Amino acid sequence: MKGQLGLMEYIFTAFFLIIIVIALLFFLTGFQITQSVGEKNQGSIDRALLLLKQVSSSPLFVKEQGVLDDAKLTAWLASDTCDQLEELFGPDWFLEVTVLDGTGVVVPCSQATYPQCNHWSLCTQEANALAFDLPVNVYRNVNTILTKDVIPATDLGILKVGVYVE
Amino acid sequence: MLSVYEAFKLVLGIVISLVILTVVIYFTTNYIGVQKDAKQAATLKAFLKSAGDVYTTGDAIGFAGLEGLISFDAHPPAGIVSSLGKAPVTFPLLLLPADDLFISANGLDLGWYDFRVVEATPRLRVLFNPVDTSDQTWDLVRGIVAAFPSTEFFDPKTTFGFCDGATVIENLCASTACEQDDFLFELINPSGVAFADCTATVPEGAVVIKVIPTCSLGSSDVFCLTPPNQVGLGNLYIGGEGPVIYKDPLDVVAAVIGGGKKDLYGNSGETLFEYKNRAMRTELLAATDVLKTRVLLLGPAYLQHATCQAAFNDILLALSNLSSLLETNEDYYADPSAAAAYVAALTDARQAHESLVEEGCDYA
Repeated sequence: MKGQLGLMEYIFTAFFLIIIVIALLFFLTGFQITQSVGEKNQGSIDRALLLLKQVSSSPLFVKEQGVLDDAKLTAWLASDTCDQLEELFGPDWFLEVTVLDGTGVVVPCSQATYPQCNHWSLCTQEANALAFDLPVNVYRNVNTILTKDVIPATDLGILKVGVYVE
Repeated sequence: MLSVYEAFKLVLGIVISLVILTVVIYFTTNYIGVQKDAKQAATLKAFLKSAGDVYTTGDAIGFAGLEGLISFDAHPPAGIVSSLGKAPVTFPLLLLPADDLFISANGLDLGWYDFRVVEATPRLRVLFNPVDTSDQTWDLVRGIVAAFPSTEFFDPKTTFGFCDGATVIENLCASTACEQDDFLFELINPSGVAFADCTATVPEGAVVIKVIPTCSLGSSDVFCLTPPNQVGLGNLYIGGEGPVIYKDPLDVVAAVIGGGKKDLYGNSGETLFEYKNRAMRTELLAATDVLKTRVLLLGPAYLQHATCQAAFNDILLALSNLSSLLETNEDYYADPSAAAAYVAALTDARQAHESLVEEGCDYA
């Protein structure tokens, strides 16, 4: 009886030892998985930040670094531009620009409403996204049209660039 | 004498120990592999982030630690290849993989548009052999030097020198090899003495760029250019293979950075040359579309301004010609007549943009 009890004790000890080792392995594996998910999120963050920097410095969008050109932004609103943007900058991203003109009214830009508009939206879709905002200047090419002159102006705006995530 | 019970304990202990040991060793081996991949991924991510920052800011940096991890696949979609797969690159990158790299931004100022690239290069020794010494050739040499990275205050260096016959001349700047600015200073008033065809053994890590009326076969580290014609085009032989048509200094630099070795697609220099031209075509197509539409948007505001109307019409026409040429000629860089038409279209667009700015109708 005593011998059998000793044996059972021994077996239980060994059993619990194995359970602890397996639990440790599961914990480490779970930790690795969490790290990988974190890395994937960090990858999306890095991509969104790079896109933000690219848009605010690319001659395709700006007059100079940090100063967006409203006519270039409006030009991108034509059809098929998302395909071109994907070819240049990669897939699944969007950008929005809103001019802070104090009116409180958002007027979406198009070739019909230009230059009396204050909001541009490219490649937006209904999907989860990770986005960053950046205050920028927006160069209004034809702010005031006079008889003998066209006077530009620079307004403050917010540039929002994001990537779509699962 | 061992009892049954003790024997049982012994055997059970050994079995359990073996099981635990096997599981731990198996897991550790996998864990080492995962951690190694994680370290590679982190290094690769850091490199791409650094290159992206250089592209957007224009500020150069050094980068170390790639240790043979990567290669660059310039075939579309272009990306950096490592044991983890292919990481796409969303900006033009001219990369020569090595342990220590200097990452800098360069580009072509077309007047109406700036085409930017990132150059990531190790230690480079560039030796020029201008057998033809016409003014156009010296302009070309200066352009090529300016298109290489400027490594002042950084490592690894890109230095310049000459090859004259059997002699390599590198220590032109206070008994050391010249970097970009100092070499360009040396080239302000080059002497009228012609250089003899380079027959010297190309030093380790060096490349020779010859400019000679007739190019012959050479080793993989010799790049031979025929002098540019009236429109600035010439032939470029990469390591004795080719030719390809160069139109601007960045074509030559892309081929040099690519090198004259064999790769999956033929010749590594030619592959990078084609990549640069494909990237430029994609960007210029987008740029011409945007800027044409921009002109149409701004035009109505200048109805009372005849000079601006004329200038806007000129640039619209120039951009339309360029756009149409690029759309219909995917391999515009490979065909002599298409390349000549492309250069002419770029010149027209530049002149039209300059007129627009001079008339005060647009910003520079």
